[in-house]
Amino acid sequence: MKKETYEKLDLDVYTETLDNGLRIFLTKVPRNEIHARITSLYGGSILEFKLKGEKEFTKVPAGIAHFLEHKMFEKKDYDPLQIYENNGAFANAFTTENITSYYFTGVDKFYDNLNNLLRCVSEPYFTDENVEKEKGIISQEKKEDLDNVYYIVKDKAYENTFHNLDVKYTVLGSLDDINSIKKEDLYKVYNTFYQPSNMVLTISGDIDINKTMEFIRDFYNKKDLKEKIEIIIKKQNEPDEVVKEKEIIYKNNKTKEIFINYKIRKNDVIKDKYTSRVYLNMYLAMNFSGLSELSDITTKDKNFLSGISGHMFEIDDFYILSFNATVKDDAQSAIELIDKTLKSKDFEESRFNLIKKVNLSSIILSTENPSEICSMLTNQIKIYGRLITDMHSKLLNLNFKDFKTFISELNLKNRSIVILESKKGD
Amino acid sequence: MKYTKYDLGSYNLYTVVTDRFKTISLSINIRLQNEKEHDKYMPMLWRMLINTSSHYNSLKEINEAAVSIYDPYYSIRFVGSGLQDTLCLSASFINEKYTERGMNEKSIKFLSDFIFKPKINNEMFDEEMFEIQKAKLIDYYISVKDYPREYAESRIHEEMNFFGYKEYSLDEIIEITKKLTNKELYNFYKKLINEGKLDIFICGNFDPEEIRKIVKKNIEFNGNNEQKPKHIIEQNTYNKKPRVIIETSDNVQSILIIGSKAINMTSFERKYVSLLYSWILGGSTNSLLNQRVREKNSLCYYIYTNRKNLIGDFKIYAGINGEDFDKVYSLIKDELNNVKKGNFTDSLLDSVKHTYYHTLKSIEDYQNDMINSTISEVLVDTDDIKTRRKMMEKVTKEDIMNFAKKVHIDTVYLLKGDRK
Repeated sequence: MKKETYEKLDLDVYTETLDNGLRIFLTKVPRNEIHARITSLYGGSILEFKLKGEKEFTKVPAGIAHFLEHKMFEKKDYDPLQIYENNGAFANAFTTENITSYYFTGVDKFYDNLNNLLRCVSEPYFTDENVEKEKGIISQEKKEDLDNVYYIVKDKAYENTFHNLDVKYTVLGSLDDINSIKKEDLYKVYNTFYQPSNMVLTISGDIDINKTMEFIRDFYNKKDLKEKIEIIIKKQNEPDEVVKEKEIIYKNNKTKEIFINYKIRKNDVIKDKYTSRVYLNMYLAMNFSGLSELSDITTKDKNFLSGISGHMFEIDDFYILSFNATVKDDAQSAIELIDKTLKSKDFEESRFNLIKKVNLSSIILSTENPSEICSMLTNQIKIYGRLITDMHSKLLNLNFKDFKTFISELNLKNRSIVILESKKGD
Repeated sequence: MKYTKYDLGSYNLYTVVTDRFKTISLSINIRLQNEKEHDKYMPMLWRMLINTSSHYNSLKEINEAAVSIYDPYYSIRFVGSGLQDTLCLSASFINEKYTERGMNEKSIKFLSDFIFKPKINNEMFDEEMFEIQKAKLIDYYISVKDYPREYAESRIHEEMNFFGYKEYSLDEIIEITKKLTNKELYNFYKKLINEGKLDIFICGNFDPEEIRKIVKKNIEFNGNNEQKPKHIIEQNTYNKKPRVIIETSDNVQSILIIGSKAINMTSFERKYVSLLYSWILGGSTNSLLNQRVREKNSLCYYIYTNRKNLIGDFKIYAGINGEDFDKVYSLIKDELNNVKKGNFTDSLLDSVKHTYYHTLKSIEDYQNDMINSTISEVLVDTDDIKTRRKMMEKVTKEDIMNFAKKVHIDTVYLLKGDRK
């Protein structure tokens, strides 16, 4: 076990990698609650893969990572959620494009809860019957998204942005995908991606570090685990261009919902991955946050029923800058405003420094509660493969000139627009 | 968890000291007794207060000022709490121990000025912003139909008459908002400031005396501190034969809400039994409704209960297929009867109690929870945390069964999706 310390954040992280490859990160913080999270570094955007030594790639239906997340709570002779509830703990799980996480937050009976968490992800139990039962439940979860105007435009925009990357499919999959999933698919995905070497365990709260680490070691020492096998993800060649530049979806709606993806191939102007991501987020903040002129424009323009929200997403060799807005009737002028604002690179250094200050404040706050700490540690391992313990000094050293150079190299030509509106006459 | 009360004349300040956080949380609450008319003013008022400032000319300038004091988080909302209508500013800012000396005062002044020093000219709010926000609010009301869960909630609330009067329908509130004038809104603001009851709550690692001086120096208020506001509304009637309302929508999923009223609750039931009743029915994955409707019959992804104990409001929410309505409704009624008959396990009762104890212990882990817990002790007569635990331990299965007999389905609302 070794200790890594986050500079200026009063945060020590105790880490260890077990023989089976599981990476463990423990932090002691003064809270009554303990949050523990185990994460498979596998999410909804990987559908073709094989283990080293296998001849053929396996292709699985979209939505399988999320389906598997549901089914991991089903056991032959016990109910993990019942155990948590009996202990007064709250537990859940979630799946994103990149990861699947299982977690609990509890005050009492920590080791019982931790044992339950580790068992939950180590003991798959899939039958034809329990897989069939879950289809009705997940279909209802999907139907909620099908009625949500934000998800309708977002999901369509991703479908229209990517030719080959599996991120074009939603994390939940389509209703047809959900209904096509079989227990054999689930076991295949489980046996590939839930190897401890593809998982990360983070725990934060009022814990005894040594005792906790010992408990985890003991748990896995008792398991008959197969050797670590390398996972090979099928490389998909993705062109720079989007599939479809514009699409209008019709739904009986009172307002218009807009979603735009700018598809940008990564450049190597900034070598440090953490810094380049920060610069991209600062780029969005410079032009689209409350510190930009845009906040007054959208507040005063009666056409805008929401502000314009911008997000950065990274997948494969691409950055995706996504924008969403709800407007009363004029979608075109909103799209033009987003485009013009994004392409405005006449940055002020004073605003750059203000946003730097905001970023410094936000990382101080990111260590305020156990679940946020676990989330930060897990994300850093997934994205960077290591803890960014020097993030405070990286933020302090951000440089306006480097920022401008990095941003000036971004190619903003490829974009996909989706608009949801009522058919005329509806 | 202890708080200190300071009587500052026309208002009260409550401080909660804790060294567990790098931030300080602030909650400013101005309350008026509930009136139907408040729904006409409050949504416009908070929009005006948060989007304008007597010190700054634009939102960009407001936001720059915020960043210069290390970017506090803040929001202004209109909160209905039983018979009280509250304008509430909630905020959190980094303690000056982690930034620079003087930032606590600057933050408190910056935040409180949104409420107490709005941009007013000739006894009116900023004219341009008033017209813009009015138009946007009307469009917001119109667009509620685009959000099925929100629309269904507004429809059943409108039908159930919890407050003894018929609440504005969406169409009515749109027409009323169209006619609202700037002068009327300003008069309402004056009424709030002159007749409302102000309570301020601050939680963090600070010297309470220093905070008292900062608050006293920066917040002037002339409202009424003598009021003893009443929060609880007793429900006396319900539809003996539940009213079933079915509307169609251009959605795939159907939204079912079953609205019940609790009649003649005792104080013990209102504070304790009703919560466990609600959680046993639909508060967790192992709740009766979740097990029966979701896990055993695969009829939904979500089904849960929500209770507003101050007004005796108990609702069950589920997203289902429209054609399954009869089956789901029948299963729900069956489970409601099961609670009345005591057909639930002791272990389920124990587990919801444990969940409650957990929430009590975790209050100290979240500043907002510490503030909210203090607010409810001070304003809503909630017991202190130790008493809450003791009282909850006393709740028996019989208490739950007896309480279940007081809960009556009043209105069933189905927003039926007919989109394929």
